[in-house]
Amino acid sequence: MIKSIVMLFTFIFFMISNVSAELTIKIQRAEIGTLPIMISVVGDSKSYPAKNFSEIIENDLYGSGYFNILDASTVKNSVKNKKTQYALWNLAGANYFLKSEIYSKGGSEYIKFNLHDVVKKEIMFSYKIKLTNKSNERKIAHTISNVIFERITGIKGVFDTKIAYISTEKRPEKKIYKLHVSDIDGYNSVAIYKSSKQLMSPTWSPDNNKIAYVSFENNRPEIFIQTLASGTREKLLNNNNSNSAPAWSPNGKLIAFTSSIKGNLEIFTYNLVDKKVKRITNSIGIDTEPEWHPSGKKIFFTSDRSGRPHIYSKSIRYGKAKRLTFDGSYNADSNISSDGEYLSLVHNGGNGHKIAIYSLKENFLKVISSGRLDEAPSFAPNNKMILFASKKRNKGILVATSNDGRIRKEIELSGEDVREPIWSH
Amino acid sequence: MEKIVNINFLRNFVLLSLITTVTGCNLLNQKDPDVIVTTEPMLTKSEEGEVEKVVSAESVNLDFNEEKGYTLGNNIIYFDYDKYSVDKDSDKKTIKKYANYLKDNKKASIRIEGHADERGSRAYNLALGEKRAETIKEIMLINGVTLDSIEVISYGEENPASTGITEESHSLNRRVEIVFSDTGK
Repeated sequence: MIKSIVMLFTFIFFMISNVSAELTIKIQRAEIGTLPIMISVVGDSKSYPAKNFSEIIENDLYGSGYFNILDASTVKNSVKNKKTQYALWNLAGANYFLKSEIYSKGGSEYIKFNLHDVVKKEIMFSYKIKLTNKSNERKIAHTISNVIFERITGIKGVFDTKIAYISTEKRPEKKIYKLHVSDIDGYNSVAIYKSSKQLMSPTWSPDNNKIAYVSFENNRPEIFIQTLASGTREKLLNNNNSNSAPAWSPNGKLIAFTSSIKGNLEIFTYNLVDKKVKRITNSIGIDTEPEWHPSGKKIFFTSDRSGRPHIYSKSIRYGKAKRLTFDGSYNADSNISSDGEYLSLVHNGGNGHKIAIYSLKENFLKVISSGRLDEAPSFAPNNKMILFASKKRNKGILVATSNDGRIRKEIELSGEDVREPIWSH
Repeated sequence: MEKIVNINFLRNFVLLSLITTVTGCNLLNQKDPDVIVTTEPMLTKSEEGEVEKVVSAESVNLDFNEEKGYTLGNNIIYFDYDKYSVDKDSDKKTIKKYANYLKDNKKASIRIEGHADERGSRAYNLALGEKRAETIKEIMLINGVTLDSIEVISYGEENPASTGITEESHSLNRRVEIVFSDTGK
């Protein structure tokens, strides 16, 4: 029996522009096969409330789908006798217990944390982190979540990674487009570029230091590269064409993109080192949405050469394109898993546009979302979650779901439409 | 002037109808193939030669619209879902009307704006809008318009004509709008 639990957290968070927007995160998941854990953080200091840390860690672990969070305040957690302590935790149903404390020593503040394996009655690890800057609170909590997650599941944690997305805010008389970078739970959002003209197709550089995207600031789609730390912007190509759908090669040297030549949309690569442009595809109709294989030797792309949009692959050096998808009437916007085994894509099998996963090894396609206007899927760096854009009451929201669809996290921004999310590497 | 055009048009229309009737009869009888061979070129010749002049005369009348600026009457061409081919004769006439105007007014220039409905991925919809606009540009080039008087731009799904979620709204959004950058006047 699958039981769904809906947790709703609503907070006010402040964006760089000082305009407050309300961020709503809703986690919905099936309650099966999860590991029971208790999180206890004690010892408030002036600037670091313990409650903040425990809340962030609990949300991270719960939202991963691998853990069940049990209330740590229902048990005595400072029993001197170790045997008795483990027995109490065991009795309360916990398999794991995170015992954490914030304390001061020599004028500095620290957070130390021990993870207990309740079943084996032993400490799995013990760490401390020096607390220096208030703005790092969420980052530190996400790092602790990562360590817990990795040690218990053996899977790389992604709680401290980033996402980029586009939002639009309707103001009287005009619309403001924003390119955001935020934590994966939607917090620490910074609008790194704002424009009254359309912004689209953000994509991360392999080192996550830059983002390439499409901007209509000169009244046609052009590709820009923005360095996150400095805010420096650079136009990729100085020509009069419309250029779109940028994708960074795994070695960071090439950007694949779409441009039209003699009335057809084809895929090209731009070499960031020698500035040379090379044509990759050649067909009548539309070829767009390039996506690199992790080897950097071939690309996946959307083409309508068969009459309908489908996913194709092609070597960037030679040879013909190979059609990959045959199911349904529409397959587009592929995004590859970091192990190179799966594509997430937009699929229409006759019941609206949904997110599907396509196995490159087994040529098998599986639908994992239930919306009718779902789009822009991207894998988490550990390939365990997929982030995409959906519509709720005709408003754009972001959704993160596990590969099996068991967990679903929705991120909504009040007063703004959000779309085109992409997970960092 | 307009009257003369109309009379010409009427005369041609009657003439055309007559020829069509004659051809039609012969096609039905299938007895005398020679007649078909001789009448067919006449039919195409008179159809092309005369009707185009009427269209060209009409096209001089620029309409001004608060939202659209100057147009030659209808300036929107609609497309089927995920398609970019122009099949309807009325659409071809609209394109020809603009092509003729551009040929007659060398200083004039247009912007062909492509759009898609909201379904499917945004980057693909941007490509779809561009391909729709490019298709119309190609037709204009074939009709003798020079490349430098046409600018093509796609907005993808971002500027819908209708914000509804029904098929009717979607069909209104799958479109190309022809806009004058400069009427040349």
